[in-house]
Amino acid sequence: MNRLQKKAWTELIAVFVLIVILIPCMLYLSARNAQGLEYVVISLIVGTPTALVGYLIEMKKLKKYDEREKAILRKAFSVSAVVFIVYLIGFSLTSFFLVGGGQTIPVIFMPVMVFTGFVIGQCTQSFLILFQCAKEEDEVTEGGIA
Amino acid sequence: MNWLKDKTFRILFLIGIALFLGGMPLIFVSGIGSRIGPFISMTGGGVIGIAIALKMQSRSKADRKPHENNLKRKAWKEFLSLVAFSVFGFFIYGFLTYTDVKGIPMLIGCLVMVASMGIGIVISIFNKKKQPIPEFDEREFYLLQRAASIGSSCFMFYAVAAMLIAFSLIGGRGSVPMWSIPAALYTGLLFSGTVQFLVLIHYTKESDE
Repeated sequence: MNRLQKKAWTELIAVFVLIVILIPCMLYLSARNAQGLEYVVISLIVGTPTALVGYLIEMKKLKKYDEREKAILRKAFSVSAVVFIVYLIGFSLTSFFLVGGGQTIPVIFMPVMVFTGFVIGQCTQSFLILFQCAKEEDEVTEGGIA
Repeated sequence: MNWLKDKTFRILFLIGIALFLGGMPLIFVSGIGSRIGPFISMTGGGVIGIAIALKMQSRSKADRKPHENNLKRKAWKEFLSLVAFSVFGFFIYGFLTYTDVKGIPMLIGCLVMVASMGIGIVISIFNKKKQPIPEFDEREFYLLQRAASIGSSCFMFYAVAAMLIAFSLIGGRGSVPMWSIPAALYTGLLFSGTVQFLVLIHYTKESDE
């Protein structure tokens, strides 16, 4: 298993672990009807440094990859971003036309929409990397045999 | 505006506008059958509009000189399209919200329009690959990918921030107006497109210097 495949599997597992942690948290907050500016501040205080540290670690790791690996990663990311955006558009349009523009919708639908979008996007990204790696391995093996 | 001199295009253009605008008043008429009418009409108008836009795009590409400040032109073109779409989309979206349209036929119509746009984009990508002279060199292509990646990251950040803020301010058991979800999504796309445009303009300025 090369480092790209390791990265793909790690990210896939990390997203599923994150979802397993986040679903009960969201359900708890929803049941408690957590409301107010303090929750926004807590979310920002926890979320911003976490996202920043994650981003910096990712940037540091990215320097270790060669050009071919970087190209694969860039392509996988752009496809997953498109999938994420298309999913959100589809979800919002479907709910808009099923519920009606003048009606209301429970706010819990928003995290559901974003998190399912993230899971789908991450799965796409990881599978694309794994497929590309498998394809290259096959090409090398076929070339070796010939 | 050479395409306006073409008679077929002129007729198609008028039919498209007539279908699209003619479908709107029909929504006010009640009854299931009347929902299908405007939906078919507006979808037809939209599809004709997309076909004309694609044809115009391919014509303008054919007249273009190779490697003529491509990046800057692409950035401006995309940004202006986004702004034009915002103005146009604002009225349509406001109208759909005001009339409280709902139902499977309308949903299918809208999805058909989105799918037509997607197919149009895929066709234009395939056409680009067929061109004898590539539109962008390797450096420009890298900068485009980088700008798109920054734009997508901004969109993801915006989506999470909007969701967290709405969830915290309204409360887990609260409700939001339905129109706010597509509106939030669209403002996110607008934000992402603006960031992408600014990044591309920054890169072109750097390369000009």
